[in-house]
Amino acid sequence: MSELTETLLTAVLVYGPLALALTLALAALGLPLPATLLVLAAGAFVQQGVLDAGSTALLALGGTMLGDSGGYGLGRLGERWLPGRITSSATWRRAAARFSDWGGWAIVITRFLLTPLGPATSIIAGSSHYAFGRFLAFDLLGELIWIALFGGLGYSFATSWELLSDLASSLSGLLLGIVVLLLGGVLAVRTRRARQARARPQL
Amino acid sequence: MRPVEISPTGKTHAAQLRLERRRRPGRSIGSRAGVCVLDWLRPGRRIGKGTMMRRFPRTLSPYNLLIAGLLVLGLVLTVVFGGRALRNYQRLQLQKNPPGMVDVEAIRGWMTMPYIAQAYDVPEDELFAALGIPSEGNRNVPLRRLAERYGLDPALTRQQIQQAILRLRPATTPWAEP
Repeated sequence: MSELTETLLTAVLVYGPLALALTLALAALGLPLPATLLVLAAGAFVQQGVLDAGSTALLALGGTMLGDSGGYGLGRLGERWLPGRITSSATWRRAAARFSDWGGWAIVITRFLLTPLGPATSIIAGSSHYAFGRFLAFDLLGELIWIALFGGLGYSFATSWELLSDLASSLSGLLLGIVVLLLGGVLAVRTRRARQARARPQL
Repeated sequence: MRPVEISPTGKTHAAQLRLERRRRPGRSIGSRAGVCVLDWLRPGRRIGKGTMMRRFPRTLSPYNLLIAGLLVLGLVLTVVFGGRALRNYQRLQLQKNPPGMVDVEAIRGWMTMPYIAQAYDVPEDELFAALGIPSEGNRNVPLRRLAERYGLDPALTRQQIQQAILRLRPATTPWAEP
């Protein structure tokens, strides 16, 4: 366990759910902080009677959503700084339209399953002008699942939460690998089909 | 000067390949790559000007390179993290504590005295007494910093806390690390 992680764990013990909320907000903005590990630990601390379940869950949820909203805001601001030829291009508009159709699922999944992609998804949502109300609704759903799932696991495996955290981290990497592999496979199949379609003689 | 192979039709090898490609348009990337590989392996082949080098960008365009990169990256991530997840799961299964038992091996340097007292249900003052240090000003200090502050050996400090817990909670068993 790194010194930073140990310091954050001590901070949660000393300052309670506020320290947890602040850390989760910064992690949601994209800072490399062990957010899932802290949620697991918080679940264990609740089981041991060190933290209160209600206030911990509420503050953790609030902190994460604050960070996600910050990421969304960064995307909105960043889009203004981009050159007009990029933001008015057909590709950009097509990508924004596609995110508008499918972004909800992307937001939910990257909150609890593909968490490393969470901050980037928030920024993309902001830059593609995804409706903020919808963003918040999907964000709430995804973060609720994340906190209930990992906080619950920490609560259930209170004595072995450190090992559980290692397992969660490995599973997250494994899922990311599977998604990248699937993406590569889909693109390869599409390319092949497009080539075959072009090669067919025109009648 | 580089040697240039002349085919039986009287054309250079590169020109012959270009002609063949024009006659059979729309071959898949796989078969083109296959032609490249077979051509590369052909006995007596000489690399003439513009044979492989001219076809190479068409076979592995930046887009194809991106796809190949994604497949390789995905495979590496899946294998590395899959193996790690399996090992972590096996360790988790081994470390399952029986109900009611508390693992004193789980004490870490980042833990504070009030936390240890709460988690192991032992009086906080007894833990401070075990180390021979006052509780005042030290309640929010992690174990590792306490050892540094009072010039104690970190391993010995941890051991003293474990012994104090075992003394105060006889039902607790020290659970060995797997």
